[in-house]
Amino acid sequence: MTEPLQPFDWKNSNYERPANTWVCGRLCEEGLPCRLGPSNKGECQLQSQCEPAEKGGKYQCTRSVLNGGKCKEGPAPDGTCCQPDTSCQPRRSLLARRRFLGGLAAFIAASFCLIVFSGDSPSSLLSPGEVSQSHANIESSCSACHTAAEGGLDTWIHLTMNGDVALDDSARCLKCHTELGEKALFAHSVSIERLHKITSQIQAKKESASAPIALQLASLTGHPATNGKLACSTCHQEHHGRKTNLTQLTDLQCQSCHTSPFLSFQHGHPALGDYPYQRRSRIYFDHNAHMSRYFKNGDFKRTMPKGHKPESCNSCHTPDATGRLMLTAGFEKTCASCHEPQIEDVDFPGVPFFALPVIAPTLMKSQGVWPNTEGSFATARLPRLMELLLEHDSDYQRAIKQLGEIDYRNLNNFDPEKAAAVAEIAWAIKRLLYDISTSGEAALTARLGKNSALYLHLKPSIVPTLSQAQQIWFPNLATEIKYHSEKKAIPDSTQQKPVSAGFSARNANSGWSISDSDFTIRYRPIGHADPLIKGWLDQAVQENQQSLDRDSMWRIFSNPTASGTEDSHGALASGRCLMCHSVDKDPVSGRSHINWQPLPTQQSKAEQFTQFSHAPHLSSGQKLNCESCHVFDPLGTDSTTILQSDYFVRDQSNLFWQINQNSQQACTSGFQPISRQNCSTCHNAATATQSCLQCHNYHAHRQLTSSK
Amino acid sequence: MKHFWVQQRITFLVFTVISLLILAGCYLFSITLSKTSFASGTILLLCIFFLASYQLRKKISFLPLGSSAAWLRFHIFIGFLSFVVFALHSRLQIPNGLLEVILFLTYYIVFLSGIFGWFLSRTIPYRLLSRGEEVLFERIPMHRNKIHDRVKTLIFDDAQPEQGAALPDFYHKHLQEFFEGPRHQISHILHSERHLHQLKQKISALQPFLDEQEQVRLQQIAEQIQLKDDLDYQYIFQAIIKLWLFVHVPLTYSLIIFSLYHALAACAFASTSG
Repeated sequence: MTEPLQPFDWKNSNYERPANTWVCGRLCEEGLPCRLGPSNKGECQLQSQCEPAEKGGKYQCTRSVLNGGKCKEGPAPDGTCCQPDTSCQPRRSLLARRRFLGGLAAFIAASFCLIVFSGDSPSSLLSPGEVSQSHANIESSCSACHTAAEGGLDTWIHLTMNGDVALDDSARCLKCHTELGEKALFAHSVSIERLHKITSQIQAKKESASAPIALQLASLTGHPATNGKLACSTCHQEHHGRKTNLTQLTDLQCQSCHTSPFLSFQHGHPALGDYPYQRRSRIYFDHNAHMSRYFKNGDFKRTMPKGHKPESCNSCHTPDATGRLMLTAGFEKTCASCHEPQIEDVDFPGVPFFALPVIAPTLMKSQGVWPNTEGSFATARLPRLMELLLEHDSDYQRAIKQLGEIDYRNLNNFDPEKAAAVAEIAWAIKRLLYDISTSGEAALTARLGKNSALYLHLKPSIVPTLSQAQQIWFPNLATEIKYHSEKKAIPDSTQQKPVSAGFSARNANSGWSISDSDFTIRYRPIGHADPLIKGWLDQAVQENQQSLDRDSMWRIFSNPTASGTEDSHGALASGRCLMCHSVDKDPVSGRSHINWQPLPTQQSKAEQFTQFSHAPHLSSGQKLNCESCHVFDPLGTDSTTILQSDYFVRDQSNLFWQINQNSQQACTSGFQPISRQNCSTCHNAATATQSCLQCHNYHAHRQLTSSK
Repeated sequence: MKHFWVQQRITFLVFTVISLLILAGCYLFSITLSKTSFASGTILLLCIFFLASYQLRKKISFLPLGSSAAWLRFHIFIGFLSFVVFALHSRLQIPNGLLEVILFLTYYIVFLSGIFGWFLSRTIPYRLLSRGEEVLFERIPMHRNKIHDRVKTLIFDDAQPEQGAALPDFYHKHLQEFFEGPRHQISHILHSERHLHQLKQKISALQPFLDEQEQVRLQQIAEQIQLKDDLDYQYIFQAIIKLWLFVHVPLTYSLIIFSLYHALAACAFASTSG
């Protein structure tokens, strides 16, 4: 048994103060510490404590008991301490070293942070990670997305206390993401009023469904403001690598904002309603009628002997490059064999735009050439466009005022006084033809005045046809106009006979025709997608009802008389084009547009909450075909029902067509609505394919990529 | 001992409940599209400040802020809890950015060193009690010096003139280096006494060649060897228990600096609202 190493009485214990900054060097090196230890400054205190004092000619040791007491040897005769120089180099204690290391670590960390900050703007070292692939090209520019990147440390501190910094950053997102529309930061990119309206509509159809327990508990923790703006970063979390899916959200997250949550698509999801048929197709097409009636072998061969019957759905519909949409083959491939003759309307001579009135040759003596129009003019008035072109001709206006009620089908029985007025009418028409022949579109612009903007953009232009008619009907018109303006008698040599009656020229490419049988210039659609009719209709649907009533061109086309047949389905254009092409009205702007294409070719302003991709459903492994989902509805409406709620209706006089302001815009495609149960046979918990985002868009106004 | 295990179980139960509450809270918070990173980050920052305040508590021991043992228990408890929150905050993924990787590594080093320290505090005291006399760490050089002096006295000062140089030779050959400083630290850590056995075998081998007095002195030297070896044992384990703090404490300061900077940058750049 060895004796204990350490005594614990203070007299026998040497100096140990490990909490001090400095410790005795001798303790560390030799294990022989002094009693005093170093000073707070790290200096050895041993020497200074021993200062022999002289008393009665002898030096005595004065070391205190605390410092070890008087030494046995006592001072040397010369008064110096007998102890050898035992001073040592004190060392830092462990605690002091650790404290120093702590300070050093903090200094290095702070220095690193300042380097990362690097002056006025943060360096890329601050980036918390790579951004997604779609944002990779702007990764190096922090300020492209972050307001804070434009300022210094003071800006950072300021922004941490700024509640709108997220929205400020989101505004930068929208500089590039213009496809999200003006209200991108509102919930679902629709205005608050619109959101409330939609919510009310859904609430009205609300079905009893139990909310997930997690959602009920989550509602207790708070909720992002849905009535205000939502920052992009609320849903889109960046800086998680190139392969991050920025749009991934859970079903519970989607539903956390909704007022009517439910368990899953399989359990509790509201019925699909009329989807996808509640929004009628852009092209009216009654599948039920066509497939059940027109494409039946017997009927089809009888009614359309030259028509092509589709073999299957794929004959007309093929998936686009993305597989999302089923494209419709063009008119030429699918519809033309049956419907092209209807559009060309070969039995219809066309809408008259210019006509020579019936003037007796006796009245036109010495007045130059005037074709023998007797018995050829069909209507009592001049065509409306002609009236417009003559509206500012003062001689013409004076003449018709003098003649009073006139019938342009018969201007030959007048007394000599009125015969001069009739001659003025003839010269006015000649001047019109001459002006247009020599000045072209400029003459039209001058004569139509403020109305010119409405008509001059409609192509093909009437000008070449009018010039051609002038050459045929009035070959010496320039000379005649010259003599007439100089008030000279027109020599007989100029009064050559025009081309004999019976001539008829029609330009198959332009739709304009010159008829010499009744001396009229008419327009008849050249076929599908007739440019003039298309342009006119585009203009007409954008006009308001009041201005449309005053619109001359509208009256030309909407008058059944002008179309030549009283019992036609509608006016020339509306009856033909809008039997198939639907019209959409933007609920926000109130502007309408005709859907000339089966798919949107421009930015869709309509709300697109739902999306569906056909290709995955039609892949070979799915064992699905079109009829699996699209089941014919034997009670589906036919085209007559559709037209009753069409965009155009007849007015009270039953003469003109007008825009149906209360149009239901309803059109059934002849299919039964797709039921949720039908979808949930595949989309259920077992297949784990019932995510909200599979079918629903958050940004309802996001521009969809169209596939031609 | 029974009380200790009951206390441990209660602590574990409380820890589990609080962890689950935090996880559930963050999950529910995330459902509402709220910023869970800011919630977990705030909790984590508070945890780090609390953990760091333990060091402060030691310095202001004069204030009645509870016992140091209680603080240590809370320190360990919050330390483990901080890991749960950190895992939640970092989504158990290694971050990509340089600053965040450094912050991530710093936290993990501090946390793991804390775990290491916690493990040491659970094991070393028992080992220290199992061997040798408990001495103050700072006094060990002094005791080592005293033992060395005693051995030198036994070999050189107490030797009779007629006695040979067997013991001095043995000292110079096998003992001098052993007594001059701490030795066989790895062996002590590994709880190995092989070196001691080897030395004792050498002593046994020498003993037959010594006279009776020399054998007595050799026996006393052997006692001092055991004493010195026990002292080395105490030294290395006390050193370990003090040196791990050289990693844990300084990096805690770095962690605080990085955390504050990260929080500032996150608030300014990652949009706290919305």
